[in-house]
Amino acid sequence: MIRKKICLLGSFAVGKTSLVRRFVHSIFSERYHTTVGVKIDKKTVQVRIDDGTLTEVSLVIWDVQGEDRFQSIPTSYYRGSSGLLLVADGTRPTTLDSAIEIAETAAECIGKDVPQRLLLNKGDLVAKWEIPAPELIRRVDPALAPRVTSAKTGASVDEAFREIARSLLMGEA
Amino acid sequence: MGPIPEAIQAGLIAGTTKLAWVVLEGGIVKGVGGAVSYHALTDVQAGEGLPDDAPWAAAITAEPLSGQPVELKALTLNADEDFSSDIIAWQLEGVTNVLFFDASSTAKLLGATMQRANADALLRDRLAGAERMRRVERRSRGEAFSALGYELLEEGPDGAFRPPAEPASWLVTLCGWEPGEARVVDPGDPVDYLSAFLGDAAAYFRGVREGTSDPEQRSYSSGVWTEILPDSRGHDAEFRDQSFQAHALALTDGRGVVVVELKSMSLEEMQSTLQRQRDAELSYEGLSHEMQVKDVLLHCIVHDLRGPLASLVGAFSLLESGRLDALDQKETIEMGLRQAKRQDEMIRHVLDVFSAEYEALRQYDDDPATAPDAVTIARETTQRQKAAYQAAGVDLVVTGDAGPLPVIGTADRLERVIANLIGNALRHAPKGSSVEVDLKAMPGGTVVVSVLDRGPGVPEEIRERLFRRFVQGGSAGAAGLGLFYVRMTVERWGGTADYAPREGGGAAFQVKLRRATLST
Repeated sequence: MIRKKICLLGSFAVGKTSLVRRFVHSIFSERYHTTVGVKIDKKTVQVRIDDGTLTEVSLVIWDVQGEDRFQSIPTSYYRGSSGLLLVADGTRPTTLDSAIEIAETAAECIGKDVPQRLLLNKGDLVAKWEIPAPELIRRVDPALAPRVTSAKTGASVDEAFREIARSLLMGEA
Repeated sequence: MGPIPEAIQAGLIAGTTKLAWVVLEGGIVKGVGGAVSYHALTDVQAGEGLPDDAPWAAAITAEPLSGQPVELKALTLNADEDFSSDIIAWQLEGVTNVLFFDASSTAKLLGATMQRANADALLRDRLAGAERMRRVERRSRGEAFSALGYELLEEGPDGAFRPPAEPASWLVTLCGWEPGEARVVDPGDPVDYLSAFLGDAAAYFRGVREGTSDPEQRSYSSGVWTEILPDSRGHDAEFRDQSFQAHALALTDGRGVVVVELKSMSLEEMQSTLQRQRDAELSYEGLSHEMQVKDVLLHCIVHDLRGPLASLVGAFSLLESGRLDALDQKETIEMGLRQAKRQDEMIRHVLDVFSAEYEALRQYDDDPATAPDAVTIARETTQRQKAAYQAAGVDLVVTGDAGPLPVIGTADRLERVIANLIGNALRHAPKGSSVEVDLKAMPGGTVVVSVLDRGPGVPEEIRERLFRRFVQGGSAGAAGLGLFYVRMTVERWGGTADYAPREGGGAAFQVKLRRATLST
């Protein structure tokens, strides 16, 4: 079976681990539990690619620690990644810049163009978003295909992972 | 002696010397001859039985010999001579024939061969013993590490990594080894964390061996990683987080060893410390944001309360002067009361709308049909400030695009943004100079509003923090919140606020706003 490595990148407390738990185990916890290092989980999904073929792919998801002054990310984490999921917290607009900065470093380390997608998480708290979602989305490079997700409600989570799986099977950058 | 069979003759021809023979019949020696002294046959006499002490006698006489000859190899019969005998005996028609051959050279060869064989066996034994010792040592070392929550992986000559002894179940689970499968990890698979690290470790070992890496660095560590693995405690279909850390150690004998650590308590402590730091950081971010909003509200409140308070102070000053007659005093007191009541109402109003104001800061209009026109607002704001400018002897003009230039924002807040910039310019513009409010639509969907004066400009030391709270450009009467308000407001609309020295002298404040277009 095809194995593909995906890295989840973004500032701390944006909900990366919650997104993985929602996608892989269909569970959510309100409690914030910071990730130390990298947490690796796997899920096999069936993806229909453009020619209609149904392909099975094992996603090896590297949930990488949030970077800040307490923890930096070793660049070796990025090697061999087939795709990057950047995660920002809609209630903290600065996390959008952090995610994009981390992704730039990651892309440099990987050394080739790999599909990158941006998730604006905490869509369930949209009333508390300082900058409305359409405005945040307008600020982002359309190539990142930004979408609003909620690990809490599950909104768009499965779609986001499946969409990047499809992109990396199609060899899109 | 009867005829010698062909097979025996062949043996005789093959270089034997010092041959002797004995012929027996019915246990009695019928004949003896040849090199009798070499083969210690001097006691063998014809017509007698065989001497009892002849070491070969029993083998010859114990059993009746059949068609198969009896062979006795390398017997030392003559203790005084360095001499060995081979003996062949056979029976034919009731007669026993015994031949004695010189076997000294054969014996020497055999001895040397045996000695070599023994030495090899001894060496093999020693090597096997050493290997057994090594295995025991490795096993005991492995067990000791294992008891401490560590497992070893040794780099083999083929580049793969193997545990020196049967590893703990957690390492088996981590490596995904099936029962009976070889305990091997191939390095360099970037999808698998441990394999990726072993690839790095192998490169590190190579560097140490080749002397290209830092000789002081004797180890190389992976970061902590967590894998969601099947519960090794035997609960089927249950998964739990297990954290690990690996350390590559370059041993002085050139070997490379990787210690894999099962993290437990130490990780929990590390995580708990980090968690506390981050919780504190999140709380700080939240509080700091809340304080920023409150600062702006405070600024608005102070601004709005200043008017009635100024009237009240004026009324009290007039009354204090004692120059008012009774009628004027009454009117002044009434006016003061009106202003005090107005201020009281305003405070109530402020309290009522406090939460609404907070929400309003986040609202803005991006519909081009209803979005505020920056040109109109700039003209209206300058119009309202004209009197103050005239009093100061400074000219105020609006230049640039004629508009309309609809921008993302709200009309009242945009007016306050421009008013703050114009008010700031007036405080620094010299008498007789001119302040320009310039508006331009830029490519990329932005509108730039610039407020330019010919004052002294902003000192370099405060430029960096100019748009922060309570930073004053040096003039009296400014609370230091005006520019902070400008930055906070326009940033919420997706814009920016900047300062640059004006060409030819003076200050140039620039606000970039996003243009409200149909495509938005």
